[in-house]
Amino acid sequence: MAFSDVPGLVTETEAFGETTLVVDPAGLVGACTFLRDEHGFDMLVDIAATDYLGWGSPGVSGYIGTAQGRNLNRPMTQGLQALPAPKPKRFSLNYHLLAIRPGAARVRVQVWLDDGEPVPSVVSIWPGADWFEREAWDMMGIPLEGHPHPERLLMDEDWEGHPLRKDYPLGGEPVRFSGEE
Amino acid sequence: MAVDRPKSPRLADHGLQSERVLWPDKGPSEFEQELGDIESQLGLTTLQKAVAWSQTKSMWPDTFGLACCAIEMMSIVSSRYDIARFGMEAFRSSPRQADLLIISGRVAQKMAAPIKQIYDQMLEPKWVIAMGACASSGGMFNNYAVLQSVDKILPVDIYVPGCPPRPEGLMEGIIRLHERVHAGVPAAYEVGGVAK
Repeated sequence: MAFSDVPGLVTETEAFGETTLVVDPAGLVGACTFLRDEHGFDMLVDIAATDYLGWGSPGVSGYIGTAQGRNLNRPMTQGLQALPAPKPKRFSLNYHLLAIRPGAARVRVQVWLDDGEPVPSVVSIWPGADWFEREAWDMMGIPLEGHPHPERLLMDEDWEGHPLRKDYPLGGEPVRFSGEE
Repeated sequence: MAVDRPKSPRLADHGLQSERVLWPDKGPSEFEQELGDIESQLGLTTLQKAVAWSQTKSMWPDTFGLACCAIEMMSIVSSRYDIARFGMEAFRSSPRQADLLIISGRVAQKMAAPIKQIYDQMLEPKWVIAMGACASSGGMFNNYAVLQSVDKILPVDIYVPGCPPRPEGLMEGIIRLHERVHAGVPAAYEVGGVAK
């Protein structure tokens, strides 16, 4: 495969025309530096954090289908609930990279993290990662190592909790006569 | 305050016509009744009435557009709705030169402190209009990120409903504020005793 020479690579998968490289958190900086210098991915487009709490439990993920899979040509077919494969850890952090050259190659670098497990910062490689990583810390509680100012970005500085986690309540005030009380 | 003035409760008798700009034959409304009662009870002197009249005729808003409602607030300065008819096209960028703070848009939790700072920088007398659903009550955003109504941090004079309110709706709110001020109703911070 095209990315087998990336240091720290765990797996490389390709689906729907997109290439995903799974990297260990410890080897993230080395892998990203290699991708930027050798493969020419000079732009970090996005860092997306995902919380997979409750993945695989009924009602959270999966779909109703037959043992062979769901038949889209027969709508509303009943059957077994097909649950997806469990994820390795709770959080995944996806770095979307773009090579600005003819062909515009894109690749996704994926890191899997537990709750509270820190991730090394890639600000030294792509300065644009600054706010994305701060958002990952603010919204998902993924601690950053080596970030110049790891403060909250969207919420107040003294806010407690990480709002986009699955176990964070929606908040707000109860509304009278709305039927929810 | 022994000044002679008509005893009737109708604003129309005092020369105030906001309810009848589009509907000249409309009967007296509750708003007018209440204002008329307040006016007759407050018993302002002629000088106070003159001062209130002049505050009404040139109440400069602060440029404080937060979100979607700001677009409607911008459009009242445009030629079709033209707030310049009421002396208010001079939106001041500095709160120290502004009389009116129109909170137009949802207030994030992070924005609450700057809003309070801006309001404190305004000089008395000052008025606040909560424009739209989000400033009045949090609007459709009933969650952790949006402050559920700006009156948790500021004293509000007029709430204008809508999402967003049409420019005519905001102008109705502004004109009602003018009539309140003209009638001698004190600004919200004096009534509530907060944010002085």
